[in-house]
Amino acid sequence: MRRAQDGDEEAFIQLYRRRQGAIYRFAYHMTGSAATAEDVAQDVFLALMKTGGSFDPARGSLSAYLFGIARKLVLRHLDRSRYLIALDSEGQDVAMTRLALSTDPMVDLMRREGLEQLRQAVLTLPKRYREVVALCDLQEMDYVAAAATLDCPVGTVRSRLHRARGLLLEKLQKQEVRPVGALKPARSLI
Amino acid sequence: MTCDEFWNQMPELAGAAAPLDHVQQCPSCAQLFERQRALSAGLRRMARELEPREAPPAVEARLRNALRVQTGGTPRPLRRYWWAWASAAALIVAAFFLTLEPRMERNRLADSRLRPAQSDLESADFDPDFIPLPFGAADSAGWETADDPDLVQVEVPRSALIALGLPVTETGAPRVEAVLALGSDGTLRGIELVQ
Repeated sequence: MRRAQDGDEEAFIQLYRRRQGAIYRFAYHMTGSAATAEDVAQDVFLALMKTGGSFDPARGSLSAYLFGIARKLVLRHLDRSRYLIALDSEGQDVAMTRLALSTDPMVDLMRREGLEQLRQAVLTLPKRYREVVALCDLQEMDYVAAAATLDCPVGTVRSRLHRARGLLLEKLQKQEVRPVGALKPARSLI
Repeated sequence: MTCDEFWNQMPELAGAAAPLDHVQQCPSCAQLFERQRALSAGLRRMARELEPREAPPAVEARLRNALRVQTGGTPRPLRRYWWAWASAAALIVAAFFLTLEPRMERNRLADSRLRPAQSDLESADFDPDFIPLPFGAADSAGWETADDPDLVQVEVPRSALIALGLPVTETGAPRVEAVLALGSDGTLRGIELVQ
């Protein structure tokens, strides 16, 4: 990291190669968009390039520092595209219902269709719950590191994760028991 | 232990250390706990499926460029490989001259008929001024004021210059040093032969 801070190009690129995958996937889990994840991954390391001197190892790990930047960028993106997300969510509801009609989503979670349903359910979680799922469940980050990234106590991470799991089960359960008649009618273009 | 007390311990987050005494006695909590386990397995599988995903190589290339711009320590390729650019320019000029040889030869003959004084120029060793190109073209006048030309120093085969009809003696080194004037659109505007 010190060499990268001193402008050593190869050291910086090695650092990027080691860390970019996790940052990219975190942004992808949070937004569901590969293009946004690419932008976030790039902007995180551009920020590191410009403000790397502000990183203080005594205050936390480099991983927490990078995820902290990524989180701010993702939240800014989500705030800017609230309207688009609302439209997408409506479409996702219909898609999830269609997927869930024939099988138990909990049993189906080990199949590809079930995983897509779960991915959509994660994307519809409120942001504060989505980020703990993305960090702890999908990035397998421990609670202490997640707390450092989110700048909150470890207990808050655990309670949010507990609540997030409950919300995910509710969303999947709704799809399981929703009758066919509950499907939203197709909109007529005429 | 009541159901609330059991769930307040967040057993789904405890992994192998989850307190399981209660679920063995409570069917509804056992069912919900089983769903939590299925959810955990689904999330793990989702994480594994997306593990190969990473930023495309273009991001690394853009970061490299940004780093070079920021540090300013790495020479730009144009400066680092100036000799390669100069060689390439010389080859282009030579090819340009050779392809124009028949037409320029005709022009030279026509000019010699119209302007006998041209032979005086050929007898001179080098002309110190820029010579507009294409040689003899009607629109070449005023090339110096048309735009701000870029100057590139190259070596050109003497035979190519002679074929073009430029004022170069037939004896001397096989290559002649010259300065090319390139317009902003990349076209060759003029040439100065350096003694």
